Amino acid sequence: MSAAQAMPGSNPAALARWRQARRRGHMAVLAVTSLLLALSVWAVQGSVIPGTDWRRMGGFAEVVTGFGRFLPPDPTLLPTLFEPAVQTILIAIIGTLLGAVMSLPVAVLGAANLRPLGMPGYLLARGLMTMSRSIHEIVWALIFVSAVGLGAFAGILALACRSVGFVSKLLAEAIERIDMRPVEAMKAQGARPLDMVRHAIVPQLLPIGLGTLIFEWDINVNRAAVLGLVGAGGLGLTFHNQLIASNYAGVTTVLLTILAIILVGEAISVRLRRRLV
Amino acid sequence: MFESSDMAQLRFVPARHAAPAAALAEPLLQVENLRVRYPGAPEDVLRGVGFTLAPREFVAVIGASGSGKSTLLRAINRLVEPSAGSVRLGDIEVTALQGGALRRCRRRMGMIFQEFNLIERYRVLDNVLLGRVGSQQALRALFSIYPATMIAEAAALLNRVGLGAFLDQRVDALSGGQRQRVGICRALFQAPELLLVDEPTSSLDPRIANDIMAQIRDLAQESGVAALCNIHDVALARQFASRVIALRDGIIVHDGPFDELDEAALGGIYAATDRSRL
Repeated sequence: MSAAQAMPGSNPAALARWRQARRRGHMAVLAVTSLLLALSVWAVQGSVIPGTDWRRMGGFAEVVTGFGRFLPPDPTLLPTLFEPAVQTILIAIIGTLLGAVMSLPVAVLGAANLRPLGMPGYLLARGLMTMSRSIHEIVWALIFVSAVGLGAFAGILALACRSVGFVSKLLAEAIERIDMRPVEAMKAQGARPLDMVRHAIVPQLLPIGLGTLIFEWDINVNRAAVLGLVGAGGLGLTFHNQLIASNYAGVTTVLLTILAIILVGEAISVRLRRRLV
Repeated sequence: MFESSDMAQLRFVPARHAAPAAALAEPLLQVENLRVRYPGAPEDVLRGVGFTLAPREFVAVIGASGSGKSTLLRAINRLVEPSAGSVRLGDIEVTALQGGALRRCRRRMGMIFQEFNLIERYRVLDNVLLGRVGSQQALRALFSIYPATMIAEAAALLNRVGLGAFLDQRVDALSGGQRQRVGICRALFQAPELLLVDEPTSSLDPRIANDIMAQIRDLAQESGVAALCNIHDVALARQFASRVIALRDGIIVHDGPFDELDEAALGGIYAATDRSRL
């Protein structure tokens, strides 16, 4: 008998349940760690080693020479990058806003504490969130390029659909964590349901929603830059053109421009989040 | 907007005044055989509670944690659904109301909460104005548009509790005592006939607790509002209420003047609670 069991007033049955729960927790951590380790070994053995063309890679010197072709950047390309750069930024802004509008109903349907359309609506919303996140933005862009043709519109739709998964999931989780005490107070004073949503729920969601939106816009600037690779407009198209023309110095110029846009976007998003959230 | 000099001149005019003597004979609130059982719970939290409350009366409800004090208040304004029994406010059967009728009835009952339940990101004055949001037109309520007279009245009420200089502050910047004062103002701004006060001082230190209780009692008296006040602290209940309702395990074990409660009776109220209900 342990010391705790011997203590007068202790509950041996509850103590035994606590020990059992703790043992189960340790076993679960051990099982998950072992599984991840085994998967990593299997992935390296089954995919990385046989799936790499080791002979073509050549020696270290050849790898360095390969990288050297990208330097120095080609500054003569810069004037032609202004228009696609602006297009990339606009695709990111409009794609994010459209994604936010699409996310609202999905978040409300997918919040476990609301479920306005019951379990079918909840499952539908959760399915949409998963689908949006699991399909890569390039794949979304390919789908929309084939649906609405080449250009920025396809890029905007692709980003909007890609954003729904992340924005609606975070928004649904924020709804689930709402402090219900102000809602209770408004209910007690005879407020209408719409008043409760407007004054007790929206003010709680607004900072989280805005923070998520700014973060998503930041990511979407990055995504918009590569969507042009599949014909969805912006800098990605210029990048693709430089690559197929084997102008590697031009590729570096485009990459540096994308990097500059992302850095400026990140600086803006940090300042906005600090002010609004 | 109002300047601070204007604030000093504004006075809160109580929404209701002393009821005529004849009206005092009629109870404002009648609770009969009230029972509450939470979904999935093995037994009732309230087990046939009954009492009446006269207009302007200030009554303390005491009892140990888990005795059913908060549930009683929440069953009166239907934040918690009673499983049986009757609650009448004036001539209205509260337990029979639904939808808009229930909301209109709730506007006649102000509630002060233990943890204030304010909109933390709103400013002090906006929180008080929300006390009447339900009686505003829907569009005005949606966009927080209030008549100037209403804004002046809310500002005067805040002045009355010493928060006149803080009305433009965000609530999350205030201390616990200040927040509770905002909660009191919000409830009184509803111009209610009945105040339901749930442990208003539990989150506050003893010195501030005394001030808060005094303000609730004084403002309720000035406004001619009856109050049913849950108080965990027996000394505070003795100081501020002439009548006390004592609950133990969901049953009223005392309803009358505090003087009739001796130490043995108080010991029984607080010691004999079924511990599994805590």
